[in-house]
Amino acid sequence: MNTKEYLQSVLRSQDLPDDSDELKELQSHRKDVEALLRKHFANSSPTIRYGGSRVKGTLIREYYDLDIICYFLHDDTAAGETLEDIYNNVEKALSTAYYVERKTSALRLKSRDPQSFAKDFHIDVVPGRFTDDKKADAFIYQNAGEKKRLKTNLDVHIEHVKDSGVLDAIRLLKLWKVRRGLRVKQFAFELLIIDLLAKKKNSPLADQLQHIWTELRDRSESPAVTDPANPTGNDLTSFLKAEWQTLSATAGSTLAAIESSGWEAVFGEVEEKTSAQKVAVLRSAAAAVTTPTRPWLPEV
Amino acid sequence: MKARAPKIAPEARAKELQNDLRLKYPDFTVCCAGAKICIRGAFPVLHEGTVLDRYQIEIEWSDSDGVVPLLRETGGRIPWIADRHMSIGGMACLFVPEEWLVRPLEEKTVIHYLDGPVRNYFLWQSLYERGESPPWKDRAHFAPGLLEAYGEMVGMDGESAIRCCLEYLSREQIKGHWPCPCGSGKRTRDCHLAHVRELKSKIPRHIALSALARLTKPAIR
Repeated sequence: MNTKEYLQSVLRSQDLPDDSDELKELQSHRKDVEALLRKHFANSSPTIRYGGSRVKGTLIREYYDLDIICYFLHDDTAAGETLEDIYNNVEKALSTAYYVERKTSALRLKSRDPQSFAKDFHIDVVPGRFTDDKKADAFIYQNAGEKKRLKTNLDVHIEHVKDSGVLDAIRLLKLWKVRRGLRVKQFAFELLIIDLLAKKKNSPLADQLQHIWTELRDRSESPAVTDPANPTGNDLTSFLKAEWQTLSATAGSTLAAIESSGWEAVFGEVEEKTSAQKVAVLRSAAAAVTTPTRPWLPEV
Repeated sequence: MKARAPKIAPEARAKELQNDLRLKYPDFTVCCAGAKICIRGAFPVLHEGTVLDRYQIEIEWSDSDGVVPLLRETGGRIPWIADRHMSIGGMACLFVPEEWLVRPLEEKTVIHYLDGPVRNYFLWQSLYERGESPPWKDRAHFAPGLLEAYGEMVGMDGESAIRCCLEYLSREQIKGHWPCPCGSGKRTRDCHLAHVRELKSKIPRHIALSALARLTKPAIR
């Protein structure tokens, strides 16, 4: 298998087909979430729709999630006067059915069932408010950082990424980021990748990846990244700045690994096993453990 | 690879750990959060060179003697429930802490930690998640699990014998005229003195003390 075939096989292994159990479950939760929000905000008519990697085409199996935006009309105060109120009230509404984790702008939904408490549903609800009655630009609340709100535009973001011509590179770099535990905001990272690959759209995928890692390694600080949804207003470098050194060092070691051991050192072996085969191998791995450590539970 | 490095700056220690991990766990990123050293990334459950599963994790690593590394499952895959040995906040409960602390220094490296308790824990979880019976028995929750583990550690049964033995091990010296911890009614010198002295050479005082303290309040660290 050559590099091109190998990278394509990695990408295939990260596909999540429409009929996959994971996506079916996400879609069923999405219906519940929408019904819950509409019930709680019966006097409003929020726009509730998919956002994020599902619509941008950047989903990967190893770290999938579903973004659901819930934007209220610009003059609607039923869900709250301020963006922070909206964020808190949407959280309150979701908390009636889910264990909710507060993220910077989104609310992560997890199970409240005592049998599966805090199991991740891989759903982020992003509350916000349209800036005007065109229902295009929106403000979303930010509970971290200096600015308390971020102007965004879902459709602009979706189009920008979908039409970037570098979706495969984005998906593989997302996998790289996830495997290495790099905490860079995904949307800012995607915009950075698109910017850096602007003149390399027709290059082979391996070259695109190596170009990104070289740029990350060689730059002492994050380049300015423009947000297409708010080109003059949003400074996205802050999303990259905090993790830049780690990002840069990891990119350097990735390039060194390719040099010394080839591409499998980056994404590993691609292997497809059936569920029964996986269980059989796990069983034999467990049987080979000579000194099992027995898990315990402390009092909290 | 070093078992325990002398006190160095967290940034330098993070680099050392990154080097230690390079060959077997190249995906991990080691970074500093203030004085803390964090290891983050996808943990591969390896068997004969093949990755059987992956879990998103974060480890708060510590070189301090008497401190157990903390592991969080950050992918939200394992529910925070007692049966899965997951504490609130996503803290994985791999073992009774003293089972780790009592290991010799050279077996307390980050690689030993990942290859042993961490791999075992996730193998256990992967099978559990697929509806399979766990490959080995877990410990009872809370204090009963501690007594099981400490009983194995000191080679004695029964709460009073285990507590007494830990009490002796927590002292500077063990006196032969003390009643034997086994509860036989004999003096230790006439009963289990050799055994207790052997334990004393393996279980340092601070570990016996931490075990006793945990029996009073069984918390994670």
